[in-house]
Amino acid sequence: MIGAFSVFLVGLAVTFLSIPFLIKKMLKAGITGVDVHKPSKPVIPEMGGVSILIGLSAVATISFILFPSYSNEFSAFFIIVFIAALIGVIDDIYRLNPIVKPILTALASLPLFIFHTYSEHPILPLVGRTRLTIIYPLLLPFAIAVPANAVNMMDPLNGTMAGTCSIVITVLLISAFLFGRLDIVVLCAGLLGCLLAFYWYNRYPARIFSGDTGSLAVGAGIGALVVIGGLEAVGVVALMPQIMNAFYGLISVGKLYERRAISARPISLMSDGRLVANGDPKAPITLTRIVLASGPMKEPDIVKMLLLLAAFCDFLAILTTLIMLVFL
Amino acid sequence: MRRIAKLMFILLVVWFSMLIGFWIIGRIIVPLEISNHFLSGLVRTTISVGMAVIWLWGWRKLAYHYFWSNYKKGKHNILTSKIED
Repeated sequence: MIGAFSVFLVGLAVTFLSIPFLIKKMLKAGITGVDVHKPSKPVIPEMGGVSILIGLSAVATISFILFPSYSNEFSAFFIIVFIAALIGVIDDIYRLNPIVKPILTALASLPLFIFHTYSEHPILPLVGRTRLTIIYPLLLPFAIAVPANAVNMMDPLNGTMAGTCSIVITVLLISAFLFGRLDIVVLCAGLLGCLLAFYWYNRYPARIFSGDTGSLAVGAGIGALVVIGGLEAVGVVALMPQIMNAFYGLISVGKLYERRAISARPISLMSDGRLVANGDPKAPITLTRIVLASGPMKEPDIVKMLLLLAAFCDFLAILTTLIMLVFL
Repeated sequence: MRRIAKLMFILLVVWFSMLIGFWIIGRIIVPLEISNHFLSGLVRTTISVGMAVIWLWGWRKLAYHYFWSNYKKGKHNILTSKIED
C-alpha cells in the first residue's frame, strides 16, 4: 500500500508542477479556447490534458520499477490511455467527425487483446461469476469507447470532468482493494493523483481546460481499469451520470453529434452570469440541462450538484461491490 | 437540494432495476433450456437484449418526464428576455 501511495504522490506532484509551465506555453502558442459560460468570456489554455499525460508518464515509470510483476496489466493500461490521448490531440487540433471519434477510441481497446488482460468470466451482482466466452471479447471495444466518449461529453463546466472522474476512480480503487487487486489499486492511485492535481487548476474559475486530450484519455483509462480489474458492474454504476448525460443527449438529438456543431445549445448564459436550460425541443437533453430544469443557477452551484450526483452513484457502486463480494 | 433529490431517486430506481434485471437474467433466463442448443442461446440473448432495451427506455422516460415537468413549472418564461448567449 505504501507503493500505491508513492505512485499517487508522484502523479499528483508531477501533474501539479507541470500545469503552470503548460499554461504559459499554451497561451503563447495560442492553444486556447473561450469559456463561454462566463459573461467576461475569458480565454483559457485548452489542451491541459497533456499535464495528465506528463503525470501518467511519471506514474508509469515508478509503477514498472516498484511492481514489475504487473507489467502486463500496466502495459495494457498505459498504452490504451496514450492511444486515446493521441486521438484527443488529433480531435483538439483537427476536429474529428462524430462517427470517426468513437470508432477510433474503440480501436484503443487493442492492447486488451494483445496482452490478454481480461477475463471472460465477469462477476455480476446477485448472480456471481458468469461465463461469457464469446460475447465478452466482442464487447471490449465498447468498454473503452463508451466511457471515453461519455467522459468527453461530461465536460461542459469548470471542474466537472476532473471532479466526477476523481470520484469514480476513488470508488474503483476501493472496490479493487476489496477484491484484492493490487495492480488496479496502483493504477487507480496514479490516475487519481494526476486528476486531483488537474482538478485544482480546472475547478471554477478554470485556469486550464482538459480538452479532448484529457477527457478521452481519462475516460479510456477508466474503461481499461474496469476491464482489467473485472469491475464491470461497479464501473457501470459509478459512471451512471456520464452514461446518463451521453445517452440522453444522443437519444434527444437522434444521432452521434459533435457538441460544437449543434445549433440548439442545451444551456444558455444570462446577462447576470447564471446559466439557464434551453427550452428548444431540438436541444440535447444533457445532465446539466436536466439539473437546470427548475430554474437558472450559477456555474459553481451546478458543478456542486453534478459532483453530488456522482458521489451518490459512487455510493451505489460501493453497495454493488459489497453485493458482488457476497455472491462471489 | 430538492432539485437533486428527485434526480437521485431516478438513479436509485435505475440502479435497483438493473440489479433485478441481473437477477432475472442469471436465475431465470440463463438456465432456460430448449431442445436445440443454438435456439436456446438465441432465445436467451433475445430476451436479455429486450430487457436491456426496456430498461433503457424506462430510464429515458423517467428523465424526460422529470425534465419537461420541471421545465414547465420553472421560471424560464420570465427570464428569456435576459438571455445573452
